[in-house]
Amino acid sequence: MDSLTQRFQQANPAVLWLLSGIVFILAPHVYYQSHLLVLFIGCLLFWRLGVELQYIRQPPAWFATLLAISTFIGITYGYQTVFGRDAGVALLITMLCLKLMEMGAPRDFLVAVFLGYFVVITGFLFSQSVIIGLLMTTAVFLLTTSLVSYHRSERKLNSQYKSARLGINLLFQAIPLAILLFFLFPRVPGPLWGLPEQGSSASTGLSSSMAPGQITELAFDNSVAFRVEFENKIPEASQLYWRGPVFTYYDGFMWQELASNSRKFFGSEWVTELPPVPQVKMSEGIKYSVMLEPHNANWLLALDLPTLYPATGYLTQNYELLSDEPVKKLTRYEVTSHLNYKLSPEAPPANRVYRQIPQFVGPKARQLVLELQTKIQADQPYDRQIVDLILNHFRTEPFFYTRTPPAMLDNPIDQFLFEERRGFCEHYASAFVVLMRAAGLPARIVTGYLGGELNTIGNYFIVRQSDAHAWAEVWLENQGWIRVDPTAVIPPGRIEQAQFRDRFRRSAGEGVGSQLWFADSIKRLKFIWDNVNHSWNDWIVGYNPTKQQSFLDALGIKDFSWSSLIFILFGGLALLVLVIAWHLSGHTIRKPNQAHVIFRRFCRKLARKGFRYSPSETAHNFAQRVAEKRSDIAKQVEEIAELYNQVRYARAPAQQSLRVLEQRVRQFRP
Amino acid sequence: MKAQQQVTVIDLENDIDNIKASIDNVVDNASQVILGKRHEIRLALACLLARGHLLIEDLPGVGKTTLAHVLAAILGLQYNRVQFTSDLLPADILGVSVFNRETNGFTFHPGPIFSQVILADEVNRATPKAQSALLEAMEEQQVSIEGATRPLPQPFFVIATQNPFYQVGTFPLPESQLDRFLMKINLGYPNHEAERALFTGRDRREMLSHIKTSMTTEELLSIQSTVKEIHASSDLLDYLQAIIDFTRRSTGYAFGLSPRGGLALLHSAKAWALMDGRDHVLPEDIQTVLPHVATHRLRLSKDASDTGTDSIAEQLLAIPIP
Repeated sequence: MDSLTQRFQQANPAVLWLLSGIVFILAPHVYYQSHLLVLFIGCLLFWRLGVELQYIRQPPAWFATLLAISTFIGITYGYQTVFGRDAGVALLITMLCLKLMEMGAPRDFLVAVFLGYFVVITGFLFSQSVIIGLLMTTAVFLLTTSLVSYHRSERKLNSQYKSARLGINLLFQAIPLAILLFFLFPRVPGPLWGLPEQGSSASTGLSSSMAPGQITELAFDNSVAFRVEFENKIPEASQLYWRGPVFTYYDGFMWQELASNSRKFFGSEWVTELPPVPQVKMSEGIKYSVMLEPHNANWLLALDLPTLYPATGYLTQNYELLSDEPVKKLTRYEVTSHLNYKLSPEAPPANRVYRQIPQFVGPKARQLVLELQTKIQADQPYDRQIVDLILNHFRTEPFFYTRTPPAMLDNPIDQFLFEERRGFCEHYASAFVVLMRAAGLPARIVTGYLGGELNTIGNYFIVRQSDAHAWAEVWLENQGWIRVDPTAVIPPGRIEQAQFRDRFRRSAGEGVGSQLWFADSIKRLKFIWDNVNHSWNDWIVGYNPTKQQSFLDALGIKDFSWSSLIFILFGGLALLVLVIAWHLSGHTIRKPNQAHVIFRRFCRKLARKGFRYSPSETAHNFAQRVAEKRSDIAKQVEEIAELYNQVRYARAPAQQSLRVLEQRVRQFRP
Repeated sequence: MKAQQQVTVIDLENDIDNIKASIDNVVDNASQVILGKRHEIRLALACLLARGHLLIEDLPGVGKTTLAHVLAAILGLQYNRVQFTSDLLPADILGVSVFNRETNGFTFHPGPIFSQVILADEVNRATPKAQSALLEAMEEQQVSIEGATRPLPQPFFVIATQNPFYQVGTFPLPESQLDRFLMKINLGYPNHEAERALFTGRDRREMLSHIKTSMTTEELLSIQSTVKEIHASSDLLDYLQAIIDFTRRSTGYAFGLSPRGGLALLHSAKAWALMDGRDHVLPEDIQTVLPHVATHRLRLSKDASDTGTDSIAEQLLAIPIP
């Protein structure tokens, strides 16, 4: 029995390269496909490796066929279809692995390799991140090396670096072409591949309604929601309120937006499709661009208060910035916001929804409001005082801020305010708005994100899902809608999780002051990695028609159309091919032999008469073949063949032989 | 010898005509004994003229040994026959030193290898050890026994016959040793008329003993040196190299043709061109000798033999002439 090393040395290196390439191709699918499928594919790959190392035999053809058919049925049954992204990719990758089960003839190997090249694409259907890009590039390198290794006669394992070197050379040679195609190939607006998004891919991040616990869930999600680059100055951390969905209607448990399609539930009087309420800008605008990760909903995050926004977006009455289409791919947009503003200071909101509370909600809360109202001083404005009184209530009473609040199901507002007194931002915002409405002030809930982390390497902000936040807006006389964040009044001592303790106080850019050098370096590495991701998103994934246009503008191609783009593209390709051809012509491509050219002319004349010359046929044999059929031209044909042989192969062909040959061929009329 | 070579250069045309005539004469004489195998006789002669050794592979009884006998007899060469068997020892081929009581020393008794033509009959029935004794002599044209190097007579020509590998009791020659044979030819069954003539004609054994010598040894050596003078143009060498490159690049073969294989191809083509009365090689010369020079030097690779439908010869003859 041979040792494992010996078995590896006897194996065909090309197949080992191919298998490793396929492992790279399949790596992202481990994450995206079902565990059962991954297990099955893993078994197939191990089987193939076992075959190559001669532990087991290749399955018989009937078994492989049976396996293929049952896999097809299994996938069809499991996904209820074979079309669409998930089912289609599942089918492709399993069939690729099944193809490995029948590798006898050279053709099978080549089919497997080229199928592998094709399946590389499927990785990008799920994500277009740097990681996938690196994985797939490695896969292409391994597949190419496998092809090289297959065509090199040397099978020794320790000389495989030569194949790898050629493989990597080929990969690098393809890069200029890839860059050319990337920048110049006409871009179509819309998602890459034009693939319809899966119905099942749920939206991530903020949702279009708010029930207790929803934002709490996000607090554990460390994925990036969006990244922001400020053009000039970076606002203070206390002002980084990223405005998302605004909720106005409360049913006792859940806060909802009132969209136009909810008219049938609430009656037309509730729903307004008014233009944004008037605003007054009180400071200079801050310009920044946001790179928003896809979340499958419409809102675009912007700082309070967005004033200039992209053409594909619009503002609702509540100053939510929405895009026309759900954000299904990485989107970049530029916004200008004014941080000091007055929103609709003139007229109180007419819509009843801002004062609505269901009857059964919060009897104790209403009682509390009545108690607090007794402390109102007549000479001060009522609304300002009641806000302060309620905030003071949160501050002085033992309210705790926690990421793990208890379930409050029966009467969430009263349970929170009087029994548990422990909650996350959504509980505070929700209770605060209910109290405000009970006190007769128009109020609403705003969700979004708070703060963000400054990446000191790339000088941009990273806002994560865990930065999700909810706060309140109240309409005050002469001031309009103002932002009130009831969570911010909780003293640090009553914040249970340390990482939130300085959430509302630390200024932007200052990290949690860590004294440990390795913590700092890890943080630095994280920033560098995030910066790589950000640049990749910015330049590769976010290279859309607009960017292409500005890039071409910079090149001096002002008004391009699809046709001119194609023209440039193929012109560039032709130029590239010409350069390569010119480079190659020096040493490998020979000048065509003059006698041979003349002889081919002669052959073409005969071909018209039905005598086809095969390139491996000698002149004499061809002449004989013709002469047997056509005795009338036998003499001429034989003379030409003789002359041709003379010119090409004789010891010292006479100078005029070539001319005589040319003349005979010219005069030849079969 | 040297003067003779100069003559061939000066008067090549005239020489070639003479050579063609005398070779045709040899072929005619041989064809009277071995019926219907004119092409094979010519190939065997070409091999001899190109100073190569010949391997004849076929079933027993189709006239392999007879062909070898006829060639040796017609060319007037001194020949020995060695029947290879599984118990044959190298000393049986090379010779042995025996103690001589009179001189009080060892006297070398040369083995059958010390002759101009060796008929190594059924060479693949012997063990590799015995085979190697013969094959070394073929390459070196000399034999080293007991510390003394003994040159072999000139011309030295081995005609080996072998049974097909699939027959019982054979030790296949390894590729490295097959490479030392310039050509391998198959005789095949005679055609209908030739076989009828064989049945009605005189006894072949008897004919062998009465065969006339048609060529002197000097003549043979002179023709052998004329073969070298045959011209191969650069266009022809392109074709030759295209064939060699194909065998090396194609995945269909376990290994490509060696430089020695390429030289063998060139020399045999030159000999064939001379026998056709030409002073230069044409692609048809290459194509004629190609199946006999190349196929025993190549082996289809494992992958190719699964799908390969064309034989090696068919694949090689399909290479375009550049």
